Formats: sequence, structure tokens, C-alpha cells
Amino acid sequence: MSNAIDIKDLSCAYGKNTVIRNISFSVKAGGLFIIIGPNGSGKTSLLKTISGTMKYEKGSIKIFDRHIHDFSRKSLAKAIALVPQHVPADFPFMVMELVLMGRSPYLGILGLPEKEDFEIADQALSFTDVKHLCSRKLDQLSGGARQLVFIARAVCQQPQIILLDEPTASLDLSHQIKIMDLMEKLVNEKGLTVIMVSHDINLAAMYADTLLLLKEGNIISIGIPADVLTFKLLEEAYGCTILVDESPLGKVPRLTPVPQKYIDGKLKELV
Amino acid sequence: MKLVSKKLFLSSFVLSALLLACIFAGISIGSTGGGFKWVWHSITGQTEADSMLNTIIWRVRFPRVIMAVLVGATLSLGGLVFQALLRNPLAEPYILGISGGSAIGAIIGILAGLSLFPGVSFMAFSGSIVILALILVMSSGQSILKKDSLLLSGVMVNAFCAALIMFLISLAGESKIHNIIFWLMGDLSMVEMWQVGALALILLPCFIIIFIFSNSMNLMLLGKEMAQSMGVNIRVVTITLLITTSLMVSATVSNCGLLGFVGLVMPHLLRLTFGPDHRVLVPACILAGGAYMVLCDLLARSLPHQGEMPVGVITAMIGAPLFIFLLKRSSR
Repeated sequence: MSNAIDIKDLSCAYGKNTVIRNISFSVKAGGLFIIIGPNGSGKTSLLKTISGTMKYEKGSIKIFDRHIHDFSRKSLAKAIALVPQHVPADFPFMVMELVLMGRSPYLGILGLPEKEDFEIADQALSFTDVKHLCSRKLDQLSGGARQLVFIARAVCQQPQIILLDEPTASLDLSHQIKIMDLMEKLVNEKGLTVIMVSHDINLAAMYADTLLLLKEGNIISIGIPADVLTFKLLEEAYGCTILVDESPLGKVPRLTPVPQKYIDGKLKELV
Repeated sequence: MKLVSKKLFLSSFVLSALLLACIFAGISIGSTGGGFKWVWHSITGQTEADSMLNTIIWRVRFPRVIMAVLVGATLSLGGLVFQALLRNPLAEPYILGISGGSAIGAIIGILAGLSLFPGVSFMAFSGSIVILALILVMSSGQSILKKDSLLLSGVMVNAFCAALIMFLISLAGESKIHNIIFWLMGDLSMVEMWQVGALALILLPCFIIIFIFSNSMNLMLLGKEMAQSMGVNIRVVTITLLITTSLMVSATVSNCGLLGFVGLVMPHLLRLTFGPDHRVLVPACILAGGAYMVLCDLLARSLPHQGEMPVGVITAMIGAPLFIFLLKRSSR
């Protein structure tokens, strides 16, 4: 199968501050690809660069073997949808109106939806299980419901790739699982490629087909969770002690960051 | 749930009727008399075409009322666009200092003895662009687009503009001072038909451009990144809208001076009535903004027992308390 994304020798910077340093990797089509790494490792910048909303200094990005610069804005929007980290909480529109906005790359400049677009939006809302919220105002929703609605908007855009920046941040455990299950469903049922940034490595370990571990704009490791999440690599990336064992679910690495007070005494017995 | 096009049609129909009613009232009422019946007879051709009252109605009141429509529409629309682009409910051409910049340009033009068109108008446009550039430079990459800092910078820009205007007035000769001051306070009297026509020619294309980008304004409320990822060219949309809006505002300022807070009243009232969709709000602002200004002007010329007061006094008296109310509500 072809690759959804091929990145070669990519560097990007905020002004003089280089955030991605000459990295190369590929993302297979149809899978859940999760980018992890400490704060400031360039995860969000990488995601923005792939989405075409941030310029890069050098290297190349190919989306399904086509160079990103060869896409028009609209055709890129038909291929890639983005759910950024900070979605506006005070957005005054109704849920249905927001989800319909996902159709805008397919519509004229005034974005007037046809009957078909309503159907697609309807399906997207059902898919993410928030159909019952369809005529609620967005600013009345809880954080978890709001996130699901923004994902419905991305689904309504009918892309081949969906990018998400920390979609589970500051959500309760049940919403975290709900969102990650949804990501899995997007891959399995719709055949999409999902690329997301996450700070929750335990969650990432349970769901990711491929993990990319970044530090200071460099790739520390890329591969299946069991290969990336090792004591040594994690210590190198995060600079702290993280124990790895097997989760009760089996065959999934489970991480335990070690508080300072355990480091000298108890840890020696454990390691 | 209602379709956008249906909502657009319905709101435009209702507000057009309202605007026509206001225009009708505007040309019917005045110190020389007239009344609805006379104007109706005059429209249907049942009065003598060259009577005194007919001349007053069609040569004096009519241009003035149409001018009020254009100015109200422009300033309301200007408020709507700035509120969307700066994502700040308190943004408005007057508060940001765009109007002040135009005024400085216009006064320099007047003092230099230029004609209203193109001289004074061009100077006003230059003034507004300078202020716009100043706001954008101050806001580039900074947090100044946040409510408080934007307001503070606006207050400062306005204070600076006011000082410059006073300085320019102090240079003016005795005969020009009265004109300038009255014009500054926002004045719709002394309007002639050719002036209204010229202004309409500038404004109508601007209205159309803004309507074309109305859906882009909706998407941009989602933030720069999400809008861009849905295919919006942020840079082109922002620059086009800012320049178009400055052009319209400066064109109205050079014709009738500073009218404050107009861009605050209508956009907020219409958002409460018709919801947040700019595809509905842009036409609604044009129609209802026009109607609002006709009513303000009607108040300005019928409230005082003798003569009339500048319409800017009325708009500020209504708008400033609303501004304080909005400020208090949004800081909660």
C-alpha cells in the first residue's frame, strides 16, 4: 500500500528558533499514527506543517505521492482535515452549522450547502455519536462533547487524512477512551489515516499502530509501541525515569513515571 | 433548522420593508411640514411638481435621508467586519481610531483647499490607511488583539487623533472653524444629490466585496488554523476586507464627519435577532444600519425647538452607554 505522507529532510522554524531539525519519515495509509514527545519537541509544529498551515524552511512533504505545494488550498482541504489544539469555546454557531462548515472546500465562496451536504453532515454527527446535540449551541456544550463535534466537522470534510492536536487533553477518562475509540473507528471503518499528537503515552500505547517519539525537533524513535516505549528511549527523550511493564490488557506497554522520592531506594529493587 | 438562504431572504425582506418605512418617515417629517399624506400624493403625482414643499422634500430631505442610509449602512457594516476580523465584540471604526485617521486626512484636505472629490476623499482614505497600518503593526504577533489592549490602543490612537485635529483647527481661519467643528460632530445637513450619487458609487462595490467574503468571516471565527485547513486564504481575505472597510469608512467620514459607535449598535442587535451567520448579517447590517441612521437623523432634526443638532450627538448618546454595557458583559 502507498504511503499517506512522505516527509524528507524537513526543517521548520519560528523566526530564528528551529523547531524541526532535518527529519524524514513516512506514514502508512490507513492507520493510527501518534506523535509523542516532551514539551517543545516540535510535535505541534510538525502537525501544522503537514496540514499546510505552517511554512517550512527546507525538505519536502508529499501527500499520497503528490508534493504539498502542488495542492491548491481547496484540494488540500479535501485531502486533509485539521482539529487544532485550541478550538474556540465561545463559537456562537449551532452544532449543525459548525459541522456543515466542514463542507466548505466543496462549496462556492458563500458556502451555501445543498441537500447532499446536509446528509453528509448528518452522517458525520451520527458517526461521532453527537447527533442528539445537532441543534444545540456550541458554547453550551461540555469540553468532551465539543471535541466530538469538532471531530464530526473534520469527518464531514471527507478527507483521507485527519490531523488532531491533543484531542484528549483536559478531558475526563470516559471521554478520552471515547475519542480514542472513535479514532480507531475512523481508521477501521472509513479507512482514514489518522495522525495525532498526544501527551498521554499510556493512551497512545493502547491505540497507536505507529508511534513517533520526538525530542527537540529530532526523531528519537519510530515504530510499533512495543519498540518505541522502552526504558532507555523514554529516558533519553523525557530526561526522567519511566518504568515500562506490560498492561493488564496484555501485549501493551504500560508506563509509570517515577516520582523523585522513589528513585533512590525502591527503584533499585524494581529495576 | 432553517436554511441559510431562507433566513437571508426572510431577514432581507423584513429589513428592506423597515428601511423603506424609515426613508418614508424621513422625507415626510420636517420643520417646513409635509406629512405622510403629502409625500404619498407627491410620489403618486397628485401634487404640483414645482411647489415649494415638493422642492424641499425632493431636493433637501431626500438626498439627506439617502445619505443617512449610506452612512448608517457603511458604519454598521464596518463594525461587523472589524468585530469578526479582530474577534473582538467592541471593535468599531470609531473606537479603533480609523474614523479619526480619516478625519485628520480630511481636515488637512479641507485646509489645503482641496475639493471634496477626489482631494479630500483621497486624503481621508490615506489617513484611515495610516491608522489601520498602525493598529496592525501594533498587533502583529502580539496579544494586542485581546479586548483590553485593543481598546487601550484605540483610546490612545483616538487621543492622538483628537490632539492633531485640535492642532489643525487652531491653524484654521475663523471662517472655516464653524464648518469644521459642525462637520466633525457628524453632520448630514447640506447634502446634495451628486454627493450621494458619488458616495453610492464607491460604497456599492464595497458592500458586494464584503458579502462575497461573508462565509470566510464565519470560518475565520474558528481561528486561523482551522479556517486555513478548510481552504480559506486568510491573508487575501483579511487584507481585502480591511482595505475595503477602510475605504468605505473614509468615504463616509469625508462626507459627513465623525459618527461614533454606529458600528456597535446594529451588529449586536442583529446578532441577537438573526444569529451569528455573516451571510445573513452583512445584508442585514446594510439595511438595518441605514434605517437606524435615518431614525437618528430624524431625532437630531426634530428634538431641538430651534434649528437642529448634529446627528453624531444622537449616535454617541445611544452608542456609548451600549458600549459600556457590552464591555461589562464581556469582561464577566
